[in-house]
Amino acid sequence: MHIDGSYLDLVDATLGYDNSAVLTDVNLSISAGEFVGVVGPNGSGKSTLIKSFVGLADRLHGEFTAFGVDAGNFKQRWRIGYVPQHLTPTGVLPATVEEVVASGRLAKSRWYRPPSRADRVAVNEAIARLGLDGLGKKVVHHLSGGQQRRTLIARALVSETDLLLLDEPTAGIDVEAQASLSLTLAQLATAGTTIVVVTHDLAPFESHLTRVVWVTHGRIEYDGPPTQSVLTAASEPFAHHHNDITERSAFPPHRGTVP
Amino acid sequence: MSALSYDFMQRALLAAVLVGLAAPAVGTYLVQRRLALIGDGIGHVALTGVALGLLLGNAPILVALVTAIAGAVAIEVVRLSGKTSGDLALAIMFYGGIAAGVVLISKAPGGSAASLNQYLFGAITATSPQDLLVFGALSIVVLLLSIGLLRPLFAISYDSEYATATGLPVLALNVLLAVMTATTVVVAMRVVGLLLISALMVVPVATAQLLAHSFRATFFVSLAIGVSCAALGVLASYYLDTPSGGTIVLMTIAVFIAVAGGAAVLRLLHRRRPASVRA
Repeated sequence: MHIDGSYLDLVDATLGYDNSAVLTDVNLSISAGEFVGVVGPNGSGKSTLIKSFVGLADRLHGEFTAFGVDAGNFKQRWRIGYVPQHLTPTGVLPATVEEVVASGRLAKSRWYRPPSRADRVAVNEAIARLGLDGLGKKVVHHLSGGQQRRTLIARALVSETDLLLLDEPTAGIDVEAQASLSLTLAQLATAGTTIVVVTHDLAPFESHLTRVVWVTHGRIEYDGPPTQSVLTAASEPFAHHHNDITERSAFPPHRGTVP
Repeated sequence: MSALSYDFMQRALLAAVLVGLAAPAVGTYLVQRRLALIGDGIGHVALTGVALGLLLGNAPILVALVTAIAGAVAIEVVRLSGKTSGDLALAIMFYGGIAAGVVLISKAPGGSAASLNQYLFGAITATSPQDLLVFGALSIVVLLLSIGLLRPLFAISYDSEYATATGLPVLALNVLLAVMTATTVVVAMRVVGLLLISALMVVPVATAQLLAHSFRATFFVSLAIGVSCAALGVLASYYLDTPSGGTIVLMTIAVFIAVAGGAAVLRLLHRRRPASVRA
């Protein structure tokens, strides 16, 4: 079922890897203009949720449409930008910011063709947009954690992305860089990019969020506005939280309204 | 009389130049993916192909090429399956390849330790005009693909998960790279031998990454080092009367030690300079 204006729609979906379910009964829509925080304890399935949006996890059952097309037949992958959790990929050779960002452009242009002038302009624009001016020729793994994360966001945005998915974007970077990153994401959201952030800590993003999705034990426990009670609960240690989530009734029911 | 006045040396030099370019071109992607020794494994499998060819009395190079490509694709499939037993499966494939090669060669007409040696350690001066034609065509195809597909091959080597997320045909590109690797192994068989091919794929890249400050620069600097060492190694082996494969590989290692040593000295000097001078 596709809702007008929504980018991603999951109906009664089961998500996982190699026929092993990680998330069940997923009913979720991500619409244009949203800034969504996906929160939950380690192992709850929140990363699997966004990995399924880009084909890195499998839909085992249910409906899943991307931009109105069944996810299995969705070809416009460049419309969804993905920023993985790891900062420095596994490679050992030097790669510049420009080279890494340009690799994100392959999703939009024909990968077997040489880069066009439009590709080069897009790479420079993405680098400037993320505040990395002057660092294009620098080797990525020589940069700070915050700058590396910005490089990966520029790579995800360079294909003129509509929807940006970030997996634990504040992991491995200092508090100052977290605040700066949060501001940059807010600016991107204001400029029209829809953002989904998977995080164990909503604090750096809470003033910009339009919605919170809470995942526990492979199920969406809460999906609604970032009310004070939700943000307060999210700031508590998850180990404590998910032991008494039901007793405390901190959350309204799934797809809840403002408490 | 100059080495180049002999036809066999001219062919040897040309074959070395082609392999000196193709091996680091493929090797750059393998090193980036932390698969530096995969060429070694494919070499083991290729030996079975050579032996089969000799046993059947039919074009051992061609049979080696087909076997190496089949082995490389199988290795890639096992690797990508991500099963915990993948490592063991690869080991069985590698050692099975060399063991089958040794056994089959012993049963081949004219099979001997000497014929085994020329495939294991190279016999560049035995390169015939026909060999050169085939090796030349294959090397040029590998080189053109390595350069022409630099961006997508970099993308899958740098961050395979991200490349998958963007919809790049990661599996097809991985298989293509495996086929290019197998082809390079077979082409280099005459020049440096199946046991030393990995060195020519890896050592020039290891040296280049000390000198270059981007992936693209690393790629082209490794080609320059590979082709220089291969050509000089062939000439040195002629004048020193040493095996060409070992001489070429020792030359690449000497260049690596010189560059790594130079880089270490420069770092030391930079550290010892007072901060005011550095500023």
